[in-house]
Amino acid sequence: MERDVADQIARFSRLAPARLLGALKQAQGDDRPREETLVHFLRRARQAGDEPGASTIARAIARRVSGRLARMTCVWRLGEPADLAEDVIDEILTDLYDQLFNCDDSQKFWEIRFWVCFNRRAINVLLRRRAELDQIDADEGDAASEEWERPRELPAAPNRIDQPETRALINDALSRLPENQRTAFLLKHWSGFQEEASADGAPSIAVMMGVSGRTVRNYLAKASRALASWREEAEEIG
Amino acid sequence: MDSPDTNSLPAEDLDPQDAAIALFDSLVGRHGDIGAALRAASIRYPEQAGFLADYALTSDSMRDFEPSEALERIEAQILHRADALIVSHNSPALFAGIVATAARRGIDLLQLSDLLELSRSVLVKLDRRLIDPATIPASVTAALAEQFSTTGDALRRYLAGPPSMAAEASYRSRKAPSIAGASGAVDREAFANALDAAVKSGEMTPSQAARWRS
Repeated sequence: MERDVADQIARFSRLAPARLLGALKQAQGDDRPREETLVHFLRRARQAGDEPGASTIARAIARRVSGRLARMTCVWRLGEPADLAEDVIDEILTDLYDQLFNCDDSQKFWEIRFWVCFNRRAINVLLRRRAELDQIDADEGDAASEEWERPRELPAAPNRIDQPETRALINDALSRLPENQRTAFLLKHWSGFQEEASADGAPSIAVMMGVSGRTVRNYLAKASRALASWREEAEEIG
Repeated sequence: MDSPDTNSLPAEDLDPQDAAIALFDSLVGRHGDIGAALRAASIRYPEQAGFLADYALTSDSMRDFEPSEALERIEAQILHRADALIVSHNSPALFAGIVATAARRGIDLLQLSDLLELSRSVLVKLDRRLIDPATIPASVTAALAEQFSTTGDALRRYLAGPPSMAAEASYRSRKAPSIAGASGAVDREAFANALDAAVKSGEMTPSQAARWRS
């Protein structure tokens, strides 16, 4: 357990039981309990049979994750229609609370790195759901236009793009690429990996994706064509 | 290379994606360069490169969201659904038992055994709570919970309950017999031993049993 979480747990544990819940809910600034701390006390309440206390802490955790989860859902375009969003949210939250209320040692990592645990599970669900919907669209013949455009200079890594509007447009376009094209594009243009293995043994996209260099170049060419339309819009924004 | 501070958890117990995310987040936190963090984390965890790429895209994309009605609606949905799940966890519907619940759904023991690829003998032992709950793999609990549309927690509570006699036992005493051993302690079987017995009797193949061993 990280030092500051251990310190927080020790500090909150010194409070009288009658004050503990209020402190966990209301403490701000440096005293604001980390999510790992909240999980610890939720499980402690659970094991003590304190259901109202566990519920209070569980609701505090919900308020901590709601903003991030809402944005993640929108990134992968699963926020509309409302019943789709509800279904996706239900899957993520059901898993979340199954894990949080589980006091087994196997779930201890939630008390060490809460956001790593949450992000991994949420993003895996979102990616799977997105891929399922894209497959349905493809099967129904709604695939993006295959019109060719000669590849041009592609954008730099995200933190070198200053305008939020441009970055948002680019990222939205990237999220619409098929998974293999997206992966190849990001690894090349965001991280500078070479397409295929070379004599110096430098890591390559081909090795990481388990495909040939030719296949990687094929993915990149398709990605470039698919991104053609955003490029024009991005240039208009400036 | 910077390593994530994932202390208190043995490396072999850490999910590889968790380790990759932890490293990525640590690097972004220190240097703010998503591309460089993606590169470093992908070199360290090449098998996670695809996932990390999408994780990096998600992280970067979330920076630019402005408050909107759509976001507020989704947040409200999240809080509403969380409330319902919290209530269900604290007052879970009592799980009536594996055999009884299956019967209510019109599924007999043989059909259930086929659906789950778990022998009838193992299912009966689970139903009667003759298996040490600490030895039951999470995959078994999850499969049963999904089969019966209940929560993992409700199922774990059921499996942790006291062992029971078979319903068809006829008592020749005013007091129901206990299945405690001579010492008074209940002798529950390890799940792995129950699988071994099922393989030995031919109810399960070794490969079927292997699926449930972890």
